[in-house]
Amino acid sequence: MVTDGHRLALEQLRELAAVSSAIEVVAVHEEAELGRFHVEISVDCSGAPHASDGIVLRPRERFSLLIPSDFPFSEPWVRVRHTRWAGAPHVQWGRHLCLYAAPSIQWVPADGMHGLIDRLVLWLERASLGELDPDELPLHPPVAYVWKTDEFVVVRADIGDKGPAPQAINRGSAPGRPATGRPHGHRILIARCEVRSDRRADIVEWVEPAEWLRRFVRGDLLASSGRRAFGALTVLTDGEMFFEYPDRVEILLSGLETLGVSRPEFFDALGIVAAVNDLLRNPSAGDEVFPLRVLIGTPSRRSIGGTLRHHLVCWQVDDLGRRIAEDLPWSGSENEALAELSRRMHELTPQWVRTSSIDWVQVMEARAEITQRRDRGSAASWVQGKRILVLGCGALGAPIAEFCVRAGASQVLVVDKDTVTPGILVRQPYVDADIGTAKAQALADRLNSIRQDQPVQPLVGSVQTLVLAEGMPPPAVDLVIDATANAAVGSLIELRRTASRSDWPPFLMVIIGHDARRGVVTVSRQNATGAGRDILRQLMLACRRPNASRLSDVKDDLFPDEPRALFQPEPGCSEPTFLGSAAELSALAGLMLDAGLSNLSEHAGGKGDPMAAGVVRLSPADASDASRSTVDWLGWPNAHCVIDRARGYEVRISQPALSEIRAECRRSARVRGATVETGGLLLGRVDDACRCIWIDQASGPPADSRLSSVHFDHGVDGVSDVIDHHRKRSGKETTYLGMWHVHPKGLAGPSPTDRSSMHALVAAAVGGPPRALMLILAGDEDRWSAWLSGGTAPEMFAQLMARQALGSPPPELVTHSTHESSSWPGGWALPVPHTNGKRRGFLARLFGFGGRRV
Amino acid sequence: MVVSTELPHQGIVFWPVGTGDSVTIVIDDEHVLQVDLHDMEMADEEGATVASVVDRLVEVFPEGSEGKPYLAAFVLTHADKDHCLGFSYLLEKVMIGELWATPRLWREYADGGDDELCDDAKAFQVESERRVAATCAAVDKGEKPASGDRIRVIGYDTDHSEHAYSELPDEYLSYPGDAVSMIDGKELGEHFEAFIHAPFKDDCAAERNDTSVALQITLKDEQGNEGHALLFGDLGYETIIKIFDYSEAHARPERLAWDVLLAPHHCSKKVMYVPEDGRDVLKQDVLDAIARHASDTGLIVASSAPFPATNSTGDNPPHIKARNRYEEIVNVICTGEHPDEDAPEPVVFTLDEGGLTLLSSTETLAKSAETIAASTGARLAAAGLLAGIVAAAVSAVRRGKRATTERRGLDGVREAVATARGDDAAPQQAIGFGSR
Repeated sequence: MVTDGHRLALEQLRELAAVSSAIEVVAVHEEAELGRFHVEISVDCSGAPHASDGIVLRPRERFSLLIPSDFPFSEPWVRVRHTRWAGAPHVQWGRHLCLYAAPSIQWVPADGMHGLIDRLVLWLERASLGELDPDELPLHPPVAYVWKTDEFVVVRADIGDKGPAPQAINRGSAPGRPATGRPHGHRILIARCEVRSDRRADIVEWVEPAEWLRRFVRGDLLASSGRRAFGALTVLTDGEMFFEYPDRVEILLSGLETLGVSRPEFFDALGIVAAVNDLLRNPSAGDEVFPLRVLIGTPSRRSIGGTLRHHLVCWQVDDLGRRIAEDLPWSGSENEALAELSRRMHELTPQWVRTSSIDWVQVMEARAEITQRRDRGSAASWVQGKRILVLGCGALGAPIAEFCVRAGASQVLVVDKDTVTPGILVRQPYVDADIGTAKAQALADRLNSIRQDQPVQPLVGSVQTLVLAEGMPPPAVDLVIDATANAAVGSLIELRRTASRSDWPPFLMVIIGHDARRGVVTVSRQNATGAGRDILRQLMLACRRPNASRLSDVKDDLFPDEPRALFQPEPGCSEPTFLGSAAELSALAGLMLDAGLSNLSEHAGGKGDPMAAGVVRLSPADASDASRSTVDWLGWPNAHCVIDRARGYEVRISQPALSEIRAECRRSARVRGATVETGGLLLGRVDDACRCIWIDQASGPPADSRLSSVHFDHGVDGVSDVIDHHRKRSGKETTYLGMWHVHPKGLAGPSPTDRSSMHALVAAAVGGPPRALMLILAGDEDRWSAWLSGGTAPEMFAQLMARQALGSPPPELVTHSTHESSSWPGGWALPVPHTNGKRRGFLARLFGFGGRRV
Repeated sequence: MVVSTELPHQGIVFWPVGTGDSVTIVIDDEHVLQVDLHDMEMADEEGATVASVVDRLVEVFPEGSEGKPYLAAFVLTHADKDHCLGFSYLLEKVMIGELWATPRLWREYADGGDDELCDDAKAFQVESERRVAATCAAVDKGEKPASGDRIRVIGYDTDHSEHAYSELPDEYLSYPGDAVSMIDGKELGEHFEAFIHAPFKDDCAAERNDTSVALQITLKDEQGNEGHALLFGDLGYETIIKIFDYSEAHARPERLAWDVLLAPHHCSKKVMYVPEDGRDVLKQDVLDAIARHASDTGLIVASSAPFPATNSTGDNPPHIKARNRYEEIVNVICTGEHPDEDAPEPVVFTLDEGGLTLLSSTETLAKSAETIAASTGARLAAAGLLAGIVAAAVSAVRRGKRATTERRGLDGVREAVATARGDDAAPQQAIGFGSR
């Protein structure tokens, strides 16, 4: 039946023919050919450039266009009436021209016949020049037409240098063409084929025939891996025989002979394989007969990394051939009947060769040596060969674990304590049958079915006990990804990692906003001072800074001023969660993993910073800014860390705070003299869970402070305002933390004065803060000067003074009376030295520090 | 006679004579077979690009009896004007040893159809009848007819018995399936053979074209080289496929082999297209048969005026469609276009190791012949008959206007695609619109 598509095709062809006599519609056949509408065209090929190894074009060439009924939605086939071009690359079945390597992308429906004819012209020009098969372009390998579609072979084991080095292909039009002059070499191996199913066998190893026999004798060939296995004869050659493999045994063996593989050698090896296969079978267990297969490897048409690899085809020997082969090895047997049988089989062989046809079996390549990974060059390829620990197997963790498995991670550990419940199936990649199963187990089972090497190990239980328990070593992996969205886990990681930072691998944490439209991935490189908790905190502070409007959506979503109402999906005491679909969560999981890995591989924005946070969004931050890049990166330098003497907390002095302190020290040295002590406020937060003290901000001495070379009295002017300001801006995250002062060119330790002052500061009696951090910066002359002029930080002493820890009553207050004859005021006004005896307020007395030891 | 061994001695010359046939077959330095004649001087056609073939031949033919230039034999495939124009002139100027004729002319005369015959056809018939009479007279005397009186009648007719030629002894009659190597009473089998494929008896009363003599000409030399040409006159599909079928069925494929095929009927589409229900239906079988018997170096010659870019229904040959079909087999050389339209030269094939091979530069051969002739002070024929004929033919070329030819080849196809897509097309003219 002629369809609209056929009519369109014909109309387009006639249009072309009307334009130029170079193309002519010769015949429109009423009878379908191969079920397709058949139109013959004639094309003027005169004068086409020709090279000796190209096909010969006549002045005109006729082509049969076989047009599908759904044209232009699928491409016509192009055939020629003759077989003059058989054997040339991309001529299949002798007559079929392979114009499109990938019709799905190369065939353009809208262009229809115009595109086809254009393509045909290009094909003809290249074919005439013998350039259809450039060495480096991935075109079709030699074709073995697959007859047995019900069975296939998966090739996993690399051949490597087990075969003869393929000779450079010497292209011509005739099969059996010799290559470069040196004699052909070949190698016979036996492929170990593991039975995967009725239809599938995987080649997992290439074995020398002698070794094969030794293993057989030792009994090693029997199913050691729990899978039945058999051998397949493998002939690796260094030359080409055919572009299309023949369907007759005789032709194939003749082709092999041109490459130096003699028939006796071939049948000797085939007999051994067949006989051993027969003996490997356990008929009493109902074992089916193993197929007898021959793999033939010829040089591939594409070099990989400059090396030509072998292209494999697989011939399934017919039943008669198998039976003949099984008896071939016994001609020397002492058993006369067996020997006689074998001799008869040897006699039968030539006849079988003459009369038998070849069934080609589909070969699916999974050899690493020839398979180009489809994710080559992507950020995800960072995980290839690496060990990954994924904490949490939920809506983010499960897809991320899967991405890591597919990306080639060598090991993926997945941890989760929960079981699969019905509600999560809406968006987490589990199935109904998984309900009631531990998520980690269900996920591992599924992901292990993706890859034969089963890289996933489940850990069922809480992250806190399985990974982060007290005393456990850092995870022995290459990357940790926290996808628990659990604050406790975040804090615990912060804590554990602090203790052995240099032993921890890089760390990613992923979280998403309340409606699954936004996500944040934190990146902590090895030795970064902060992990997820730290980076999120810094992100939160960054969001709240003035001029942070580009992050306002992040603040509203992730760090709202008022806590959001929780969403509880099931009635009763179910765990609150967020709203979001599987589509959104998979998208965010993919985006965040990709961003995090890009950052780790220094692909993108946060490059270089030890700590970074990437914000990913499913919709633009605001409608007017749709052009923003997919990932918004913020990065931070490492904090300066000091261990608190009181409890061993880690004091992390942010770079802005440290810079502020240094600026004050410089100024003080300049205007008050190099030996005058100075100091000021510290703002930040103490996190008792993480055992961490963050110093976000520092300020200089208030105007009513008094400073001298032996003493520093911290004033009170404006202090409350400063604290209020930071508290408000940071959402109470950055608040009063304590005091810093310096002992220029002195010792990094508290003087008795310092101690008593701090005691007084946190004393319940005076109504001040219950605890406060004392930070003293000091250093010998060289180091101090070096720091002031931009060098490394000086020595530091930190101690978190706490009311409860004080125990005994505070010692005597040491006051300003110890100042020497004069002192300097704080603040930014032009300093005028104070004289002793000036009356000062209560707070001022409390905040007196002195560098001189008493 | 001085003959340069450098120059080819045997070959076939297709004269550029517009849409008509003039084929000169040089068997050796003594013997020439002329198949058909279309002398453009006689045609007096406007734009004729070649001067009289006869005048040129006369210059170089060897001298025969009566001091006239000698032509061993003249074959008339059929009596259409484009195949015999100038015959009387030839007869006047040249001593023709033997005529090859078909029974068809006798039938047309008997049918009173001679009104449709041109003067040269009539002259041929008169001469044929004279020779039949002369031959019969000689036979009656128990002698052979003399050169100049000889005739060979080729093919059957159902009304044989009604005509005088039926009195001829068998040796002067030939039929399809016969191979002839005796010309003008001389056995030339070492160098020549003509295998007769047609006319068939069944076609004796068909259209005149269908009664054409069809020959496979074989030229041989002492080195064992052999070349073949198929000359099918003005035959159409039915007869030609019959020729192939018949010889294939009789297992004599060698009689179908060809290095040169003269495209029947000046490259008519009737060879491979047959009208059915008002449409031309392609007959692939005849094309396949032609292709099957082509040698590796085969070429097809269209003896016609230059091809038009397109044909309209009812156009006379040459037909571009036919040429396209032939070009799917081998290259086609049009006598009117070779080497180009403004100065067509004879298409010359010479016998060598590759069989009958196209002479790449006719001019070179012509020059050589002229040089040799000048140096010996002899006629052009001194350079050898074939070279002489070529030299004479080249000198006969008249320069005409050059025609522009359409761009061809794959670039042409690509351009056609671009044009059909309309990629670059923009309106070439302002176009007005308006409601009134």
